Amino acid sequence: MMVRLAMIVAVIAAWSSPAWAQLSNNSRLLTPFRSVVEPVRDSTVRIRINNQDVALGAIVSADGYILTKASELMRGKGEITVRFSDGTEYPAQVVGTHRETDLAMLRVHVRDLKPLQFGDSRRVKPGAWVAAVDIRSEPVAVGIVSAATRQPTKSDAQIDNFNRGHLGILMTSDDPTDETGQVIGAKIMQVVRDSAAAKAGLKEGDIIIAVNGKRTPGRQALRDALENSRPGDKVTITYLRNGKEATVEATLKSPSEIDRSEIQNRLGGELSGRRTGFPMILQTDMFLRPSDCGGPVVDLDGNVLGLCIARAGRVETHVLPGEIITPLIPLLKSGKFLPQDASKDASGTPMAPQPRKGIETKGPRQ
Amino acid sequence: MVHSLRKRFLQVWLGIVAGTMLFPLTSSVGADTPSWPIDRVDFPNDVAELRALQTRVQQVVEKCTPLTVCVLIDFGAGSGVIVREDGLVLTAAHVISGEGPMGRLGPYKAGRKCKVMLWDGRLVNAKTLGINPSTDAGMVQITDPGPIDGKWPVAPLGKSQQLRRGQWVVALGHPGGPKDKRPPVARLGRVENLTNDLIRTNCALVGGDSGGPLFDLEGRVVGIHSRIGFTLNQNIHIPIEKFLTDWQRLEGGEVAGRANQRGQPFLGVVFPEDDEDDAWITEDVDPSTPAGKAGLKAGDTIVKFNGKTVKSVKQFRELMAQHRPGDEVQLTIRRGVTIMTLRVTLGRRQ
Repeated sequence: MMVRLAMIVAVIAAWSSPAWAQLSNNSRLLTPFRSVVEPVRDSTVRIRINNQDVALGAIVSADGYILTKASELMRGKGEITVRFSDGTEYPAQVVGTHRETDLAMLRVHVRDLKPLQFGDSRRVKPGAWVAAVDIRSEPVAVGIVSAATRQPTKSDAQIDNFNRGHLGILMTSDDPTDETGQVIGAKIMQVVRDSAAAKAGLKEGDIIIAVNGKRTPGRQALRDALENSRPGDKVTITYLRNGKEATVEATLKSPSEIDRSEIQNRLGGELSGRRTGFPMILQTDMFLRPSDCGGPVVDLDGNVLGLCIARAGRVETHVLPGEIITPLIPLLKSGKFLPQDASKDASGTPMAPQPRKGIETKGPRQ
Repeated sequence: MVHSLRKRFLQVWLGIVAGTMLFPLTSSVGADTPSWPIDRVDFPNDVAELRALQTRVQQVVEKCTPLTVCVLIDFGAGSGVIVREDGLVLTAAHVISGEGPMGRLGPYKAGRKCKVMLWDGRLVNAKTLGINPSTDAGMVQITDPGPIDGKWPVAPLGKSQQLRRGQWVVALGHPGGPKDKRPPVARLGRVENLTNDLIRTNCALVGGDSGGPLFDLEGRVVGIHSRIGFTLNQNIHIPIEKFLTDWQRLEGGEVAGRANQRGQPFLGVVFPEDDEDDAWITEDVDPSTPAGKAGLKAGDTIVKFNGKTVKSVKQFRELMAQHRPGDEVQLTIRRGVTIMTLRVTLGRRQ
């Protein structure tokens, strides 16, 4: 069910006072956090591609293994480098990625690094200060724990790349099958008004069987088919209506062109492309840029609660809890999760934590 | 942003005095902790002060979470806060009226059934009471008995007019609507501006938060979330005093704040929040309104009213007030580089 979320967007033209800028990044507030983040700073790195900042990262072993946010590495093409708190910079290779958590393991050939130890995010109470550590002396952002560690549900539990192109449909939870029980396609439950699908003339009840000639048996297959698309891309949709096959061209849109709550969510800055589908999250009210995700987040006692995993909305930045990350570290180091194309689903990997069964009935958007 | 939101209530101060006597202020949060003074307006200077502020914030969040609710009506979701033991909930008018603010409302009906989701996800029955579309204040009554001998835990009311710029405040609510296993979401911020009509903070809000409570560091409700601007420091809350002023009418299921406006001349456009700003139209114009029929559009700036220069929203309102419904007036507008004059027949505000 689409829920109308009450909030009026007001135009308040006369109030933009830089002196009262975002609390989360106000240097007056950041200054007292210097001593809090200092012990973790040397375990924090800046990840760059072609001299552009793409993410932060965390050193997890003395011999050069570094965790970061995988999807941010897609921002640029070229050599990945890692800059340490002392200003030195080294090339790095991706040795593993994990789709559920959006973690990537990088390797640099540097020794005697200072690894950090993750704590347990469940020990921190809502209202506690948190700081996203930078390689500089001040954190990139501070805030409070907005809601204790939880398992996301429904659309929040679904891995979705918000930067890709969207058709603007809701799909039925049961994929349609033929007489033999084979899934034939993805069935449209609802077409979002003014969406790419609506413009293309797709209707409720249509079954999408192929995108650009490639078969899409089921909702997930359709999602995967659009995974590497961009808003503005033209795609050819093959669908069944009343048993008859037809083809139509659709121009994909970005979710913010379709969904009103998406528009509100984007008031206040850019969001991470991958911001849902994590196995567990600790929600904070920190404000930071997507390119400042991937680094350690600490509480006032210096406990590393986890890694900053997504700028998820106007009011929220999510932390991937340490208790989820720690058991994944040896697996990511071992080469079990080799870097792979983002369009491939890693859920077939036996060691990966599986999302809770039966959580999702209908996708929010496609 | 809307004509009516700028309307002043001359009786507001009397309202505060009369209103607070009606509601016993229950015990406050952390009163025995010698810590961060609740009216301190600057930043913490060191880790010890960060810790002192943190203690305050955690106490407010812990105590106020069970009092913060999600209001579910039709296909909409907003937030609210329980303020009386019989389950009286403060919320925003636009949460329960189903429409945007003033001017675009159909007739409002109190007593409609709705649901209230408690902090732990339980759903209870409720009904709508009154609204004030001008201030965006609204009330909902939980109709099920509360958990403590039939009583509900309540949030004490504070005084927003005693807040100071820079004072630390905590916002709770349900951003993005209700989510399984997620209690009300806490945000920390400071008061950035304060007028009789609104509190502005940098506690970031988003759709679904509307109607949720803004607390001072004693855990007293000082405001109710209403609307947001384009940047993260533009989060607008209705001062609690706006509820106190209209309390009996809201509780009685009435539509408050419109009596003085009913029958007044009506144009049907939305102006900037700040009445010192140019009189430019910030939202799409409904074609059925007098402005729509005359051809006014979003983005137009009204520069003259019957030939008299209009330099601000305030000036425009003063000129409007001299007319009656049915009067034909000439509005000179600037649209891009074009200046044009349109004839408008003023309507009657319903």
